[in-house]
Amino acid sequence: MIKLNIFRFITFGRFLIVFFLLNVVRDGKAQSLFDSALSANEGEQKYTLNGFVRSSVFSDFKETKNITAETSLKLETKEGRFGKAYVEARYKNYINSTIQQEERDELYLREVYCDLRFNKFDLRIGQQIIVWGRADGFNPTNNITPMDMTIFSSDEDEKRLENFVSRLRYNAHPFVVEMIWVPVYRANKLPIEGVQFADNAVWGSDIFPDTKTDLSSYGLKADLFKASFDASFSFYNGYYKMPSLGSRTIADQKEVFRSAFRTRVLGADFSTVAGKYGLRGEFAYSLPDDDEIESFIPNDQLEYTIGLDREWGNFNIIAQYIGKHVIDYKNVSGFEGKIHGQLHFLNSILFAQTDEFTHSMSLRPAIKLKQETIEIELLSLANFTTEELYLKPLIEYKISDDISVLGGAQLYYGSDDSLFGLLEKKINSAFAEVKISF
Amino acid sequence: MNQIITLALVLSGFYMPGHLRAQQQLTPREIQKRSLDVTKVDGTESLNTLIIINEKGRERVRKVASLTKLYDNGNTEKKLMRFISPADVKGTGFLTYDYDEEDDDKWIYMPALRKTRRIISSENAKSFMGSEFSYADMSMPTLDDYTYKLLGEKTVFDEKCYELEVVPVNSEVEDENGFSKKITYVSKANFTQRKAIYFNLYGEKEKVMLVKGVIELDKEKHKYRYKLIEIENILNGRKSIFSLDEIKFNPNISDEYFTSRYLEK
Repeated sequence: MIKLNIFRFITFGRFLIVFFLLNVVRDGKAQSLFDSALSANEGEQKYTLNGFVRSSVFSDFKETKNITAETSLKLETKEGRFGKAYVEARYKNYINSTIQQEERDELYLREVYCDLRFNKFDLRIGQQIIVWGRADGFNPTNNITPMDMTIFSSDEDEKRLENFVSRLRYNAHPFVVEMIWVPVYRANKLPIEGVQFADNAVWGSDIFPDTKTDLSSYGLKADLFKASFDASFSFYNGYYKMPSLGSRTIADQKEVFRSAFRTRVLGADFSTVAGKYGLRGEFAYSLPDDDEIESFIPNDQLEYTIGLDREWGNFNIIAQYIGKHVIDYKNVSGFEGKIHGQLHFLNSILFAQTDEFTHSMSLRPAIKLKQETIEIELLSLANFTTEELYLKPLIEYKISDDISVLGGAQLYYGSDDSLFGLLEKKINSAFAEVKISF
Repeated sequence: MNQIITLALVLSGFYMPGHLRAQQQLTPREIQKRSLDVTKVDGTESLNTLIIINEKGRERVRKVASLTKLYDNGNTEKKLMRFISPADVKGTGFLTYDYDEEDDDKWIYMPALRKTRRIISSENAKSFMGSEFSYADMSMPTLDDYTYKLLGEKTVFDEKCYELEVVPVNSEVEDENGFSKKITYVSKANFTQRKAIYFNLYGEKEKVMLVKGVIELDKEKHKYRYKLIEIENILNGRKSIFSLDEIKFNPNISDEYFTSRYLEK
């Protein structure tokens, strides 16, 4: 039976709007040889259709944790006078899954948007994924679209979830000013769905904001692209993508619910090259509003990532220090009722606020061999404060441009009272995957 | 009387027309400089094909759209490359500010990254998109990074060429560009490069590059582009071919193209 992911497929209406706009944006003729390569000329096909078919098996050698077959169809109009449109539809068949038990088949639109261009303005409206931040993979300023921390995937990009966003960019080289409007809240997917709560509490309905305009989220970013130096300053005022856990009692039954809270995040980043080293940094200061809901609200925090990368021929390595300072940190204990204590603990590990200072390090060595038909990498993250470790070895062999075979593992290690400890039990596995692109 | 003297000088070998005499007096470094200068075109738009051939003869084909434009009196060339096909590299783009006298500035846009990323420019030895071409082959070398020696003259593709030995000034430049020595063959007629032999860091003959076609794009300033370049790695039997499918001389390309906006477009 096909399950339509309601949140994801509610976008179908929007899809129709965007599809209607396809004919608007693709109207027009190429202006140059370069543009003509991206545009449709007289008598040429107005659209391109690409995609992939992917089969994956994840297992910890005791239990098969996830078997999926997935198809992606990507329809993109050629660049027109006013822009272009893009749709990616996914059909995912869960043949076996320890997490997605109820999601046997899933049909959704991963991305569907229109790009409109008017002089120096670029407007992208639709279901999309926004990535902010110049650090590699660990971006404290990246707060627009949510993450799925429970996914079984060889591809880190699959952890990014889409949301409906309007993005307006004003391009005045070397400056780019970006404005974001997020009318619909969408939360991170958490690795705690199977957690047994104290006091026999059960999951209750979420308290998430509705679509009133004054409950929207907004972002503003100013980028500077200089020849030798890139940088940006950003400001986000909106709902934090990680929801807070709270509890309530309804008819003598304790319930745990997820609730969204607003936060303001001031961010900055930069990248440059110093000799043979690429140098990147990213900083974010978060000030959550603590007057909206009664459940846990994290403290203000300062996050910082500093990274170096270096290449030797076809081998490269990225090393980053990732730190966090929780402002006014208090090690609180002794809650009234077991459920309150349990939720406080869960909230503090989900928001990574178990310590006043946390120090982490990420390393990602990678090499490309045999005319880049073989790629080997090891993504790792070690949190020295909480003693957590994430390892993701990956090897990809491209049999041809169209066919890839991948093998690897996603391995989380941590104590039972840590986020990686929760993930360790759920999604630690080795995987094998075949992907055919077209 | 003057005509008689001139004829006598020609016959005796003491007289040559002005431009030929100028070429005769060129130092090896000047030959190399002119070889670089003749490929500096004010602006180009092109559609290209990169064919990557493995040791078993299996081909992978990439289509690329490119733009170039000269800035700073020709000392900087800005380049935008965008991969059009196949699907696994479609949308990947490179933006390069190629400077004559300093390390280049480079950015890459990959659809999977979803953002533009600044990349290290000094590491030119690595393979360009899996081909036998290196990033060094795709950018203008810094003249002072090498010493030059004229070995003699040879004929390549029926064209008389200077045979130049090009050696990195130090091991750092060697490592960055991936070769310990290069023998290049530069046309005496128009200073375009017609052939190059690369020696790896162990001194072994590693790659042979052949320029199988040249187009004079700017007929006024006598500027050229290479129509078909073939490079073969004789140690592992792999080969790559970069060809111009279509090219247009356009010195009036908008500066806007050489920004992150167009890289991500």
